[in-house]
Amino acid sequence: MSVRTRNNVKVSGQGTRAMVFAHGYGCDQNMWRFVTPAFEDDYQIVLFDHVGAGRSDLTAYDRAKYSSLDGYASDIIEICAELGIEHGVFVGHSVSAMIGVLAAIRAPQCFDDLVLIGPSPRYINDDTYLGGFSEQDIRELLEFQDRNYLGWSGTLAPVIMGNADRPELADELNNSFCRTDPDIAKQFAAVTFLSDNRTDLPKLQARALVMQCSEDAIAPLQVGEYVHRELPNSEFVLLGATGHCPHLSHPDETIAAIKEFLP
Amino acid sequence: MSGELLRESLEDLYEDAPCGYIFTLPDGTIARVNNTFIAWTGYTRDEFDAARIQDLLTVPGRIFYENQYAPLLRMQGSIKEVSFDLRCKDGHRLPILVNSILRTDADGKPTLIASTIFDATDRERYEQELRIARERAEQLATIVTVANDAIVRTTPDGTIETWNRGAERLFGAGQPDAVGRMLWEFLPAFRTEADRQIIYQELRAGRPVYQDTAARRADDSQTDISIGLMPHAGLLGELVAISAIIRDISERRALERLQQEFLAMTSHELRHPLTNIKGQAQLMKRRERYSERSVDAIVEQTERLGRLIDDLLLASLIEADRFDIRREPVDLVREVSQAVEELQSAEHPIVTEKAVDSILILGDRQRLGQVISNLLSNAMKYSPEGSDITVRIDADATTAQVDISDRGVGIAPEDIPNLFKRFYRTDEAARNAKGLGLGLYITHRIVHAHDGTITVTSEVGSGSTFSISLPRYTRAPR
Repeated sequence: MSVRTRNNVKVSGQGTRAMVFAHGYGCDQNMWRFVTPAFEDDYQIVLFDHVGAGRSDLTAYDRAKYSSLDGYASDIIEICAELGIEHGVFVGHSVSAMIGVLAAIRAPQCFDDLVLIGPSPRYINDDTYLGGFSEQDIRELLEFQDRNYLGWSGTLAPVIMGNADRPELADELNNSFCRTDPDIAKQFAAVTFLSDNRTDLPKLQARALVMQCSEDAIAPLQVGEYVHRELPNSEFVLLGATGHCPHLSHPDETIAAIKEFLP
Repeated sequence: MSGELLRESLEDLYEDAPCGYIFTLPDGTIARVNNTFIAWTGYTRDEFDAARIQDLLTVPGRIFYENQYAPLLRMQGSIKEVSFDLRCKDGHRLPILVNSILRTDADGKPTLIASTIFDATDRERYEQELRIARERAEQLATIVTVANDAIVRTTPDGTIETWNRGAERLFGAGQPDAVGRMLWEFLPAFRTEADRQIIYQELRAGRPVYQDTAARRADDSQTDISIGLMPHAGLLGELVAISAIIRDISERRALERLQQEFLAMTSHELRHPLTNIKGQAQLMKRRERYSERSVDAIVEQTERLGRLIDDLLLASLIEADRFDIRREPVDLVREVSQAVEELQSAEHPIVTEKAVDSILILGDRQRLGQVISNLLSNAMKYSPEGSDITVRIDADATTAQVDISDRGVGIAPEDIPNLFKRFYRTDEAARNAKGLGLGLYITHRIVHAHDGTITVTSEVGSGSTFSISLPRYTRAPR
């Protein structure tokens, strides 16, 4: 199966330098729709869905491969190889910020500049580190997954949906931008919120921009500052935007910050 | 209705609606809520000032709000039936369902989110109950699927709707083939409507029907079954479906038949020597004279009776799983020689071929002797007069082997697998009414109790060889 189909890769734009946008946990490449038009004239825009999300090929989902962020990083490296991307720009949101860091460490030729929106290398607090969540919070989050199978059904979804033939149903159902296969969503949530990639941060050679929102319930300010401190070559910007998705809620401010950072 | 009144009614409807209404700014700041929502949360209206909707959610809800709810609303403009928990002032969690619409200004910039909140307590309970019910149903379905019995569900007229693997096995008909056909096709006793009249009387009265009958399999063969038919009644007591549980009882039936035959046979076998004894005794009485011949016959018949009773007792011990052997070192060669000596006769000369002079077995002397005697008697019984019988004794380092060969009638290949079963008699044996059908069964069990094996090779018309292998006893490891 081709990488393009597997990750539902979409390429557009008039530029030569590639700009790869990676969506975070929850939705799909549609999240970038308010931001990408601003870069289409100057860059080659590359959008994709992580396997298990959006219109990726669900049959490519391999529980072992995607049991850590490394599996997702491998996919990004493969997309770059497939499209011949070198010295590109990587824009990653939330968990994909860390996935991009891992990819850039393993394949330094892919990206020269990384934009990390709301990054967090570790969500769970420990003795000296404040990630924002307790282990109990994350356990509850994983249980909460069963409450909302977005894109799969309306009433009584978690109860009635069987395991068979889900992909075919997806198109007819509600909330489909954030549709997720329940089992995959649960594992992706576990991988996202249980990973600890703090020791990877110092290994990144490329330039990075840490884009921090005000009052981000998922990646608090201390976490953004920690990432900035640990990355060898990074800039830090605190947005006026609140929440966790500035590229959706405050696209203009997000675009401006990216343009300011890019050479 | 006057404009004033209409406005007031609408206001009332908004404030005290059976659902919560809440308006928030794009960042979640609460702009307006109705009385219903306030009452649910237990907070006062003032406490909502400058609060954000996220603050009312649990931690997982907040993560979901940021990661999925807010992005989705921004992209779709509306969102339906998202499940959250509200954290109420008294600490309890209220499960809610949220429907939201995003309002935008002329430039498409988000200005306000209007949400309807439904109390999902009942729904959550139903979901929980449904989830449990589904798990139970799945467990039951598994039981039905893997059950050895046929479990079938039909419409009231008997049209098959479900057909489990047990049914496939019992009737020899696959599920796709069986579904849609009438269950009665498989049950000759219920073929016609008249046949089924009594069953339906019972089923319509809500009573299950149990019956032992015959099933017709897909290949037209018949098998004995016991069937239980259970009626399922609708609201008005009418029959809406029938469940059938069908068990193959052919083996049990076959055994019952064997036991009946066995009883008849045993009575006959026991009566025969008794009649003989009585006859000889009466003869002596009538003649008022002692007769050496009669007394010999009486002793012989008494011994025969004794052997029969011993066999019966032994078989009943084996059946009750109370058969045990004594274990002591026994010289197999000596036991074989002794049995040969006892049974040696002119009609059936026994030739012994010994490859070794002595083989020690850890076992029961008397029982091992019985094994050899049984096999030798059998060989004689089924051989023409004058033909000899060969006994071969051999051993390797670990195993002793005794082969007993005759030049008799042989055993039909189809009989061989059943030869060692209890009460089994070949046609040949039945025709000649020889024995109780216990000899080989007992022999087999004794050999097994000694951790040995017994096998048979045979050719019809040329004779049979029974071979026994027994583990050798070595006093001490070398």
